[in-house]
Parts: sequence; C-alpha cells; structure tokens
Amino acid sequence: MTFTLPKKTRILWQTRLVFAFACVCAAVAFFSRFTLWFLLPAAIIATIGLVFAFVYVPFYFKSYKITVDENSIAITKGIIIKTTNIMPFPRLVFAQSFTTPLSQLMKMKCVMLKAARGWMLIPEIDNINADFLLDNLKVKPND
Amino acid sequence: MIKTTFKAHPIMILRLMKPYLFILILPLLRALIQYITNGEIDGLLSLELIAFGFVLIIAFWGWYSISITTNDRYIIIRKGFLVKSCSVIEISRLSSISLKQGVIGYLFKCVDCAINTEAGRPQKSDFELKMRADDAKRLFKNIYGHEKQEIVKFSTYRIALLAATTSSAATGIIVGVPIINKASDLLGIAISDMLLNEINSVSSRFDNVFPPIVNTVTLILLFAYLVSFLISFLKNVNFKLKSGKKGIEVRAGIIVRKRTVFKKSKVNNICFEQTPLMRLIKKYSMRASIGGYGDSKGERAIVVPVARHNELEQQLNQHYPFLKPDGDTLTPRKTILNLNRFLYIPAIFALLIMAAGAVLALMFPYFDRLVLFLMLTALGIDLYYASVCYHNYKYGKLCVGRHLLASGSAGFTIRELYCSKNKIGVIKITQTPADRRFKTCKIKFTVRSENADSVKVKNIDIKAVKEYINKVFDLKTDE
Repeated sequence: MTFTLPKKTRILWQTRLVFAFACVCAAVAFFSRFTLWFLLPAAIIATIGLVFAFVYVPFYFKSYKITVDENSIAITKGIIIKTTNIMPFPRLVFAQSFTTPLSQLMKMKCVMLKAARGWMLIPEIDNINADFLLDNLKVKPND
Repeated sequence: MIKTTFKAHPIMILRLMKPYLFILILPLLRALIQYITNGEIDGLLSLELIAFGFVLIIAFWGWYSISITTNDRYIIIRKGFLVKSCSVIEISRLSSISLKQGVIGYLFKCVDCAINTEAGRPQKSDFELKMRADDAKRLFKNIYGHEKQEIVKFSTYRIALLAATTSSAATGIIVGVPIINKASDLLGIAISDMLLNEINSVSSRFDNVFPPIVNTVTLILLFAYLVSFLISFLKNVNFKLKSGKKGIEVRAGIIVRKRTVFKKSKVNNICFEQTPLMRLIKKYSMRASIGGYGDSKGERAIVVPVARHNELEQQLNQHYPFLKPDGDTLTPRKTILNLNRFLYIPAIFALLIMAAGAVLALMFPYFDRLVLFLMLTALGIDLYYASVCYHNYKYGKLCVGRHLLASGSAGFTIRELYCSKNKIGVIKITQTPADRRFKTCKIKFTVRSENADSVKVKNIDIKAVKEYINKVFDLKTDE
C-alpha cells in the first residue's frame, strides 16, 4: 500500500512556520525603535519565512511517499536530493505517536518508528490512517 | 486479552518540577522563610508565586496524563497533555524493566520504574516514571508472568570483594568532588580546604623515601577510592539473583534498592571479567550485556559478583546453557618464539621506562625521589601488562561455532566473551608484518549493541581462523 501526505499536513506546517517566523520577525522588528535599520533584517526574515512556508513546504510534503508492505515500511522524500528510508519490520522496536494542540484540532497524528540505533518519522497524517498504521505495525513484527 | 492500566504515583509531580528546583522553587522557599523570620516580602515574591503556580499546574497535568496500559502482547505508554505521545511496545521487544526504591520511595511507597528497549538513547532509559510499589509489582507480573525461580544469594564478603576490585579513585573523584563543593556552598564552610589541610598534615607525618607531594596525592587517591568503594558496596550489597526458565531477576542495594528483570533471550553476551585487583585474588565476575539496558554506564548487569572461574562456568551452564560454546578451539601456538611475540612489547616498555627514569634523574637531580617513585609505578604497571600478555599466550583461545567463546583481554581487563553467532556485530582481523611472516593474525569480536563489548585474541593461525569463520558465518572470503 502506498500513500502520500494529506493537504492538511501542509497547512499545519505552513501555519507553524508562519507563526514561528512571525515571532522571530516581531522580535527583530521590536529593536527598530532604536534604529530603523532593524527593519531590514526583519523584512529579510519575513521574506525567507514566506518563501519557505509557501514554496518549499508544499513541494517538500508533496514529495513524501510512504509504502507499507508485508515486510517493511519505506518513506521516500526530498525535492533536490531524494532519500528513501526503509525499515524492515523485524528491526522495529516500538512505535510512538505524537499530537500537539494544533494537530489535535486538525485530527492528525505524527508517527515515529524506532529501531535500534535509528528512527523514522512520518509527519502528521489523519488519525484514522495513523491508528491503522500503528495497528498494522503491532501485528507485523511477530508474523 | 486482559487490559490493565496503571497511573503514575503523585510524587511524579515533584519529579516533573525538578528542573525548576534551583531557578524557581528554592528562591521561592527562601523568600517565604525570609517573610516568616524577618517579616520582609521580596519584591519578586508575587511573580515567583504566579510562576510556581503555573509550573505546579503543568506538572500536575503532566502527572495526570501519564498512563501505562498492558495486555499480554503490548505495553502502551501515554504521556503529555499539550504535546501528547503514545508509545506502543511489543512485550517481546522489551530489553529490561528495572525498579529502584530509595528512602523517599520507601516512605511514600513508590518506585522509580525504568522501561528499556534497544531503540533508546545510549546510557538512558527509554521511559522513566514513578509508580506505586504495588502497581509496579503487578506490572512486572503482567509482563514477565510468574515462573518458578531459583534464588542465588551472594555473601556480603563477596560484594565487598566486588566493590574493592571494581572501584577506582577516578570514580570517587568524579562523584565526591561535586558533593563536597555543593555541601561547602550550602553550609558556607570551605570543606575542600579543610580536607586538603588535613591531608597535608597527615602526609607530612610519614617520613619516608618519597617526597610529600607523593604522599599527598596517594592520600587523595586513597580517599577517592574509599568513596568509590562505599558507593559500589552500597549499590550491590544484598545482591540476589533469581533465575527462571525464561527470565533473570537481579536485586541489589540497601539504601537504594534496585530490581531488574530481563529475558534470557535478550542477553547479547556474557562476559567473565577479571580486573587488575581481581587478578590478585584469582577471582572473576560474570556480567550479562543486555541491549538497551539501563541508565548506568554501559548495558551490563552483574550476574555473579565475584567467584572462581570454575564456579562461573557452572553458573553459565546452569543459567545460560544456550550460550555454551561449541565448535573447534583455536589457540596461539605454544612455542618459545610465540611467547616472545607476546612479551616483546612490555619488555620494550620496561627498557623505555628505565631509560626515561635515568635521563630524568640526571636532568633533575633535585627531584630524584619523585622520579624514582614515578619510575617504579610505571614499571609496576608494565609488569602487570606483561602478566596480561602472558595470560593471553597461555589461555587465549577462540571457539567458533553456533556459539562463540573468545578469551583474551580488553585493555588491562582479562575477558572471556560468550556469545551467540547471531549477536556478533563486527569481526576484525588484523595482520602486522610479524603476523604475515608467521601466518598468524589478531582477531577482534565486537557484539552488536549500543555499548558493545569486544575482545581481542592475538596470534592465532590465520588460515584456520578464516576457514572457521567462513564455515560458521557462511561467508566466501579468500582463504
């Protein structure tokens, strides 16, 4: 079974990034009361943030491809450099899911798969899919 | 499938507040005491009270959100109230669970529970929480079941021997110095200065061939060693080993009691180890290395504190019959030439030490007694190294089969490693020019784990080594 990330993931990360960059931007802009030169780095940070959130993030999350078969889970991602991480189920030690207030509001979960000396992160996916994935992983290691 | 859910002990709230102890809680307490004693209110008290209330609420919710659910196949750990996490671990994937109870834990009937898997960060437990003592017992029972176990107890004398032979002055300094500094700060007394003065006065009483600095350093080292010994002794006293068909339980400690359970199948390897001091009394200790085990140094759990080699072999056959080595044995050739190959390095070191000592004594005649002391110490260490090399010549061996035995040394420690072939991570074969001439090699086995054990066997016949390794590991390297 192969699936990609839902649009909601992109929106969630865009919201997070815009919020984070806005905070940094506001902090830098605060110093403009001393000299207006501080508005320049604030503007640069705002531009980088917007480019990152509305250009890079959509492409990055679109590149995600998650493949789950009987023996392993594989995640392919990347825009310029493509990477594929494969984790055979016998190597999986445990699975962890995370939710933040924002992702909870959007009914999404992030899943982390841990193996000895390594881990694999699946960004926020719908709760149903995350639970389905966790349930599947529960059964597979012993099969 | 019976589901059982456990909650964390309320004392966990205090633990969650621990990071704020020095920046928030102690200043607040100090301000309150100041108010009670002097009737003065610190200007920041109200702000501190608000921050304290906020931290308390966060800690309370953090505690409330922790839960452990078990059934016959999984253990599910939930925590966090803003950022929620849910970890699903298959019970067969657990490395170990350890429970620790200190004095406070005893008073409040709670234990520190550490759940470990192979996927955690090295030297850190994956999940740590405070649980009610009864809940922890039930958790143990749910996870490891109840099987008939044979109890092996070890006398206090043996524990003292283990503490004496494994303690080091370095550990004593690392542990002792911060305690002395903190106590000095708290009491407002320069304890370290007092101790140094005392040590100086004691060392000046000894009138011998060595200069006072040597006496002072020796006394400091002895004091640090004593601290390390006491810590090790208190940690391991009351040692009990419970061995069942599937699992092993180790209990130790008197002030802080620790109980660790792991499945035998999770043992990566067993090591018989002999530290330099153990060599003097011809005893060994047996340690099990478990992937992801514990928050202590390395992943090793002591299984037998101190015993003779034949006793340890009996224990190994009894508790870990699946690690009994099979296959053919390879040893270094027992010839005078080969013995010389083992001993030439310590011999060169001895000559270098004596030459360096002579040069230093000529260059700094005023410090001749200090140079003599340092030279004798270095020669003593070199002599011990020579004895390790001789041991490697006489008892070094390699047994390659489904289960491996490699007997050699790691640094100054004599080590015998028992391991299943599936648990071996890396095999390193090295050949020096001399090895190439005599068609021998040095072989190092490293176990696959976070803090891997390794052992090196020297001067073994290269052809036989490659042949056996190819056969056992089904490889096709050149022979």
